Amino acid sequence: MSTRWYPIFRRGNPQLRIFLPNFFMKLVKPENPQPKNVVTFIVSTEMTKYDVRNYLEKIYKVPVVNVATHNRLGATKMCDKGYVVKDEDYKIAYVTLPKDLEFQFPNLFPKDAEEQQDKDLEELQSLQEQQKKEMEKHWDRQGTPTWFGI
Amino acid sequence: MGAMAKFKNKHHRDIWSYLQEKVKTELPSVGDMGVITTKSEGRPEYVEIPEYPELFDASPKGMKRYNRDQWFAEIRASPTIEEKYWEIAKQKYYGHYTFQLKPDFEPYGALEYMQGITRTHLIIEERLPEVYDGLDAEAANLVERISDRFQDALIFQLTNHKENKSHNAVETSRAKAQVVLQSLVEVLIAELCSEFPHLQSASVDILPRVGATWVAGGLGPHRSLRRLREKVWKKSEEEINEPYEGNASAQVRTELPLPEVVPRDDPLVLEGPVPQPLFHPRALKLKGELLHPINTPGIWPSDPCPFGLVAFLPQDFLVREHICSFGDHYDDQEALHQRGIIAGFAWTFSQAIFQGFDPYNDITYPLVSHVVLSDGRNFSFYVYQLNTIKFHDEYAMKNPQRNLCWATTQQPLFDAVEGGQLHGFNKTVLFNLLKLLIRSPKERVGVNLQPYLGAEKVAANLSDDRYRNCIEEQYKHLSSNRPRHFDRPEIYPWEKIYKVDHNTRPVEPKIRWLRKLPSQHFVCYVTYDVM
Repeated sequence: MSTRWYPIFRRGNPQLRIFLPNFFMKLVKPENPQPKNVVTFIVSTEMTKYDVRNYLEKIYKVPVVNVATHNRLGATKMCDKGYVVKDEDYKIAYVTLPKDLEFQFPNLFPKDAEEQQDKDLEELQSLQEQQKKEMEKHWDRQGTPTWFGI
Repeated sequence: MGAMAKFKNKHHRDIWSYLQEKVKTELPSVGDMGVITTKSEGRPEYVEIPEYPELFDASPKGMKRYNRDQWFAEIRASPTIEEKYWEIAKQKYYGHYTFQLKPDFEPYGALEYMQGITRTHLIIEERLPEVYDGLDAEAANLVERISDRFQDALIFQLTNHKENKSHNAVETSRAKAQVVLQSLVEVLIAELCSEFPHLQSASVDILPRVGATWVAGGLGPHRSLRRLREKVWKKSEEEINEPYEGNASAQVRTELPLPEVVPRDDPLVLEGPVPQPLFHPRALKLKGELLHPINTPGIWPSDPCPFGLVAFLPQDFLVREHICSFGDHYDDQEALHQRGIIAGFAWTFSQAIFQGFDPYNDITYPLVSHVVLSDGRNFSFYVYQLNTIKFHDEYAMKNPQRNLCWATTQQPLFDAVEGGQLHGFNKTVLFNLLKLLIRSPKERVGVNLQPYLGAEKVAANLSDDRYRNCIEEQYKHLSSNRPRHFDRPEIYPWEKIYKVDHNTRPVEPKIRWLRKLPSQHFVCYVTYDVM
C-alpha cells in the first residue's frame, strides 16, 4: 500500500519499523450545513468509497450507512511574480452515520481562549511601549549604562 | 389590455424603435406626476379619515422586492394556465437550476427534510382520519360483497403473471406491482361504478406522467452560489426549485374536488409542527440540473376530470438490490412516509396549478387527494390536504398555513399464494382502500374554483390563431423537457482559470462569439415570431 522509499537495510539496531501508509483521513468542518448524522473528511485521492467505509468500520468500529466521495480541484491563486499557481487536488468524503447518531464538529478555537490571548498580547504591547519610553529618556547617551549619569 | 395587445407591444424585432416608442408612450406627463396639479379626479377634496398610499420601500432590496411582486401580479393576471406557465418558464432559456426528486430514489433519514420542503405536518396513525369513519358501514358491506371477486382477480394476476426474467430486481418489483395494482383498480371500479356516480364519470389513467415544480424558501445558498454572490450580488434569502417527477401505476380522477378533511382555520393547519429544513438538498445526494418547470397531474389542461381521487404508486425504491440502496440501516417505513408526502404534495400541487394557481399566488381553498403506495402485497395509505403552495423566499417564515398528511403504517394484504389459494387475506387493507375510493367528491358551494383564470381558462380557447399556436407549442415543448436547440455555451477550463478567476489576459475580448447566449445573437429570443 505504501509508496514510500524506506531506508536501505543496515546492520544493527534500531531498524525503521514504522508502517506509513498512503491512506489518511482528515476530519474537517463542512463548508455547507449538513444533516446531523453526516461527517466530512478530506481523504487521500487514491482512497475509494470502500476504503473509507472499511477504514471507519474495521479500525474505529464506527457504523457507516453511506459514503459519498468527490474529487475536488485545488484552488488557484496568483503569486507575486504574476503567474497562476495551483494547490494539490483533494478528495472529499461525506460519511453518513445511522440517523440516531449525531456528530458535531468540535469548537477548536473557543472564545474564552481567544480573549485571553488578546489580553496577553495587549499587556505585552503596553509593557513594550513603557520600555520604549524609558529608552527615549536617554536618547543622547545610547548604549551607556544609566549609572553613568549625574 | 388583452393578451393580444400585450404580445404585440412586448416583442419588437427592432429594439431601437421599440424603445423610442416606449419612451413616447410611457413617459408620464406633468399631469400624471401630480406635482403641479391639484386635480382630484372625481374624488372628494376633503375626507374625515385620510387614506394614505402604502409606504414604498425605496432601498435597493425594497425595489427588488417591489419588481418581484409586480411580476407575481403579472402572472396572476394571465388568463390561461399555459400563459401562466410560459410567464415563469420563459425567464430561463436553458431551464431553472433545480434539484429533482426521482421516483426510484428516496434519501436516507430525510423525513424531516421532506416535511420541511413541502411544509407538511405529518400525522401517523393506524387508521384513516376521523372524517372517514362515516363511511365505515358502507365499506364493511362492500368488503363482504366484493372480497371474493377481489381475491380471484388477485390470485389470477399473481399466479399467471409471467415473471420478468431480467436480472434487475427493481424492474421486476415494479412490473409485479404494476400488474396487481392495475387489475385491482379495474375490478374495484367495475364493481363500484354502478353505485357511486363519482366513479361512473371518473377517468382512470394507467402509467400517467406526474410532475410538479415548486419553490422552497428559507434554505441557505450553497457554497458555489455563495462564492459567486460574494462577487456579484449579496442576497440573504435563497430559494430552491424542487421538482418531482414520477409515474404512478394507475390513478383515478374525478370532475369535482374531494371535500376538505379539516377546515383551513383549524389549529392543526395553523399550528401543526413543521421542521424547518436547515441544509441544502445537495447534502441528500440530490443533483442540481437545469430543467424547465413541469406541472402535470397526468393530463393536459383542458381535461374534464382535473381533480385527483386516488393514485397508486409503486415502491421499488425499497428493493435491497437497488443501486442507491443504503443497506440494512435503511428504514423502510420512514422512506415510505417520505414518498407518501412527496407524492401526495406533488400530485395535489399540480392539480392546484391546473386551477390557475402558481407557486407565487397561493391557493384560496384546500385541495385533497389520496395516495396508495404498494408493491402488490404491502399497502400504505396517505390522505393529503393541500392548504398552501406559497413558501418561497420570506414566505417560508411568514406563511402560517401548513399542509397536512395523514399516514397509515404499512400492512400486508395477504401472507402468501400457494396452490391457487390466498393465505392470510387481510380485510382491513381492502376496507381502507374502499373507504378512499367511495369518499365522494362534492361541489364547493360558494367557492370560485378558478379565481385567477380569465374567461378563456386554457390556451385552446384563445381567439388569435398565431398567438394560441405559439403558446401551445411552447407549453408542450417545454413541459417535455427536451434539450434546447442551441447548446449551452461552454467555458473552457483554461478560460475559467486565466480569464474568469484571474484576469491574466486583459487585452483579449471577454466573450468569444460562439460563447454568446442566444439572446445576444438574436434581438429577442423570447419572441413568438422567431419560433
